[in-house]
Amino acid sequence: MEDDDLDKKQSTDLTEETLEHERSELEEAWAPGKGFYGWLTDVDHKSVGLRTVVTAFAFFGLAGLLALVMRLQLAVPENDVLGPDLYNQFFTTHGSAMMFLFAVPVMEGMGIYLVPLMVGTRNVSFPRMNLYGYYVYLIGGVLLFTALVLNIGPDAGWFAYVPLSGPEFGPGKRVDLWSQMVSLTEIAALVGAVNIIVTVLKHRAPGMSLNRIPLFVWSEVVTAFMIVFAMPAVMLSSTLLSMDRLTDVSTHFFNVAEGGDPILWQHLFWFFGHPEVYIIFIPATGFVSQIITTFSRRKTFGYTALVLTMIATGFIGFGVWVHHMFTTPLPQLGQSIFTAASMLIVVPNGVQIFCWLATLWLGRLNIRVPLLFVFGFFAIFVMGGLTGVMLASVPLDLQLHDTFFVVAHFHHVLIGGAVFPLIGAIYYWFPKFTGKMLNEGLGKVNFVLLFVGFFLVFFPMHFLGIDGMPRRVYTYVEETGWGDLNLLATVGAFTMGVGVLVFIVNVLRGLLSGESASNNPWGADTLEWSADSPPRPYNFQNIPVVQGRHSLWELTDDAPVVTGLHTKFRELLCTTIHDASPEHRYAIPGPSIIPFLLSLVTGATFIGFAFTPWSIPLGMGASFIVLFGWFWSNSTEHRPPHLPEKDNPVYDEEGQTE
Amino acid sequence: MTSENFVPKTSLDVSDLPSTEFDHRSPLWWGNLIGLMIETAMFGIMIAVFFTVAMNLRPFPPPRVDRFPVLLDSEPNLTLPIIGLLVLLISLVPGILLDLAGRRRDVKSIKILLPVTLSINLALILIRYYEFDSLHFKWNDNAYGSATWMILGLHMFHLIVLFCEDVYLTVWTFVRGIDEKHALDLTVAAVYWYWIVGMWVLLFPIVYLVPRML
Repeated sequence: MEDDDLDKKQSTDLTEETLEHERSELEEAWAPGKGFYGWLTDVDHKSVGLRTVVTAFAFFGLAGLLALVMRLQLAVPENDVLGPDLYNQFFTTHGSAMMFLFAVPVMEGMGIYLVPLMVGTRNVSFPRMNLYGYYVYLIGGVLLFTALVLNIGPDAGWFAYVPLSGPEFGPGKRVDLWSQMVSLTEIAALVGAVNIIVTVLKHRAPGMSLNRIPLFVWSEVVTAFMIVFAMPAVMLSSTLLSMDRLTDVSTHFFNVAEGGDPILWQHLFWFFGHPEVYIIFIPATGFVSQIITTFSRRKTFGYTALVLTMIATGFIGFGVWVHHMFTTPLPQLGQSIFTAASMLIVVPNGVQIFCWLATLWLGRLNIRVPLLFVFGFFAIFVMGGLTGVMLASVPLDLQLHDTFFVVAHFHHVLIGGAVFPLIGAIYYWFPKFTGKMLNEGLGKVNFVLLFVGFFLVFFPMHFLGIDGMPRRVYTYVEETGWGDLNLLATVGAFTMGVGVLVFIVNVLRGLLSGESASNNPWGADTLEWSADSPPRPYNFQNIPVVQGRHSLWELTDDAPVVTGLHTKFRELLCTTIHDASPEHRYAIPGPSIIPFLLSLVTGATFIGFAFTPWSIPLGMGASFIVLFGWFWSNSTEHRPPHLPEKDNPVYDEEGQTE
Repeated sequence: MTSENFVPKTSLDVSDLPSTEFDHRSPLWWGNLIGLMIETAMFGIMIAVFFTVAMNLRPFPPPRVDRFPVLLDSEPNLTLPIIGLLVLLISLVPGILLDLAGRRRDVKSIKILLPVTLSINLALILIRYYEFDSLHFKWNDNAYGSATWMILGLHMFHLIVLFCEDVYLTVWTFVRGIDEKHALDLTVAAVYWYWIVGMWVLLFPIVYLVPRML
C-alpha cells in the first residue's frame, strides 16, 4: 500500500449493525479459555503483562521485608537480630531480587501491557513466547526465595564476585542456585525484549511513523535493545561460573592457577550490570514523559531531543561499566576513558531533565498523584545523579568504594529514578488496567510517606559512607559513632514500609470499591486511552489510524479506522517500519498449554544444571519434543478451518495452489 | 473509538493485503534476527574471554605436561577443523538453493534439498564432535581448554538447534506439504544457517590460528 493511501479516506459502509456483528465475532475469537486452565494458557498481552507486574511487586514486597529486617539488625550497634551468615543471605537475596526479579521484569511487564495498546495493535507479535517468558521468570523467582527459605540462599552479594563465589570459597549450592535464577530471569527478559521490539517495528497503527511513536514506547524499544546486548553477558558469565563450580565439569574460567581471571568475572558482570541500570531507568523516563505531558496538558517539549537522549543513553550506557571496578588494577588510560564516559552520560540525562522542566513550565499543570511522584523523582534522582558524578572520579571512588556512600548513591538513582516513576505510573494507568480509580487522598499520603521515609533512610547513608562505614557489614561497634544515623535510617525504612502498605491498601481498596473510571480519565493523548477501561481482549474494535504525534489530541472527527482485518480469528496488521503504512495481515496463535510445559522443561533443565551437567542434553531432548509440538500446533492453526484457504495457500509439486 | 455507539465515518480497508510477507516485512524474520543478535553477543563475550585467557597464559597455548604424550608445542591440529570449515562453506550451496526454492514455492526442489541439508548438518555435527580432540586439552585442563571448548560447544549447540529445526521442517513438508507460512519458515531458517556459517568464519581463525600467532 502506498503512503498517500493513508490520506485517501474512503467513505465507509460501517453501520451500528455491522459493528455490533463484528464485535461479537471479535469477542469470540479473542476470548481466553475458562477457569484456571484458561488462565494458565491465556496469551493476551494484557494478562501476561499484568501478571508480570503483580508478580514483580510481590517480589518487591518480599525483598523489601528483607531490607526491613536488615535495617532492624543495623539499628543499634552490636545487634543480634541476624547473624553474619543470615545477614549475607539477606542482602544478597534483597539485591538479586530487586534487580533481577523486580526492576527489570516490572519495567518489561509494563511494556508488554502498554506497548501494543499504545501503538494501536491487538497483541504482541509472538504471544505464546510472551507467555513462556512469564513462566520462566516465575520459576526463577520462586527458586531464589525457596533457596532462602531452605537456608541455602546466595550469600556472595548480588554481583557474586569470584573467588568468593567460586568453588573454593563458596561451597554448597548457594551460588549455583543463584546463577540458575539469573539465567532463567534473563531468558524471560530476552523473550520480552524480542517481543517488544518486533511489535513496535511491525505492528504500529497506520500513520504512526517513527516520529509519532509515544515516548514510553520509544523508551521500551531502547530498553529492549539494551537487554538484547547486555543480558547475554550475565547469562553466559553465570553459566561459566556454574561450570567452574560444578564438580563434574570444573572449568577454569575464573581460576587464576590455570590461566583464568577473577577480574574477567567483574568485566563480564558489569558489562551487563551497568546497562542494567539504564534498562531499569529508561522505561522510567518513558513513564515520566507520558505523565508530564498528560498533566501539563500540552505537547511534550523537545520530543526529538527526548528520543535522541534515550538512544544516546542506551549507547553510552555500554561504555561505562568499568567505573564499578576502579579499585582493581586498571590501566590509567582505561580509568580515564571510563571516567570520561561516566561523566558524558550526564549530558543526555541533563537534556532530558530540562525538556521535562520546559514542558512543565509551559504547561497548565494538573497536579495529581502521578505528577507528585514525578516531582519526587526529580528531587531524588537528580541527587543520585550528582553523587554519581562524584563517584565517577577515580580518586574519590577509591575512598568511597564499598562504603555506605555507594549504597546511598544507587538507592537514590534506583528508587528515585525507577520506583517513584513506577508508582506514579501505576496511579496513572491503574484506571486502564482495572477500570477503577485509585484514591487521591491515600495517594498523597502514600507519596509523602515514601518521600520522607526515603530521605530518612538513604540521605544519612552518605555521611555514614564518608565516615567509613563499609557496606555489607552485619554489625558495628558503638565506638564508631555510627549508631545515631543508622537508627535514623531504620526509622526511615519503616516509614517507607508504611508507605508501601498504604499503596497496597489503596490498590486493594481501588479494586474493591474504587470509583469507576472512564476510558480517558486524565484527558491523555496516547492510544491506550481510546480503548475501554479495562480494554477488551482485542484492544480495539477497529485499529485506529494515527494523525499526529499526540494521537488522541490530534484526532479529527472524520479520522479513518482500519477495516478488513478478520474478525473470526486472531489477526494483526503489519505496517512498514518507517512510515507505518499498511503492509500485510498476520495471523497469530491463540491460547495454548505448550508455553507452560516448555517453561517447566526450561526450569528443570537450569535448576538441574546446579547439580549435574547431564541436565543439558536431557533438557535439550525434552525441549525438542515440546517445541516440535509447539510448532506443529501453531502450523495446523494456520490451515483451514482456522485460517481461510486463500490466506495460507498450499502449493503442489507444480508450484500451483491446490 | 471502541465506545459502543460510535460509528466511524471513513475507513482504511486492508482486506486485500496479503497474509504472508517475506524478509524484513515479516515479524518472524525480525524475531529471528534479534535472536541472532543475542547469540552474536554471546559469541562476542566468548571472544573476550578467549583473549583474556590468552593474555594470562605464557606461553600460549600452554604446554601439555600432565600426561603423555607431553606436548611443548600444543597448538591445535588443523586437519579436521579445516575439513569442517570446508564442509560448512560447501553447505551454503544447498542452503542458498533451499532459500531460493522456498521463495519460488518450488515444492519439488524443497523436498530434495531438505534431506540434503539435513544430512550435511548431521555430518557437521559429527565432525565437530571429533574436532574437540584437535585441541589437545580437555575443558578442565586449564582456562584455555575451558574457553575453546565453550566456543566450539556453543557453536555446536547452534548446529544441533538448526538440525532440530530442519527435522521439524522436513517432517512437516513431507506430511503436510508446503504452504505460504512454511515457505517463509524455510527462508528464515536460511538466515539462521547463513549466520551459523558466518560466525564460524569469524571464530575459526580465533580458535585455530590465533594460538599459532601468539
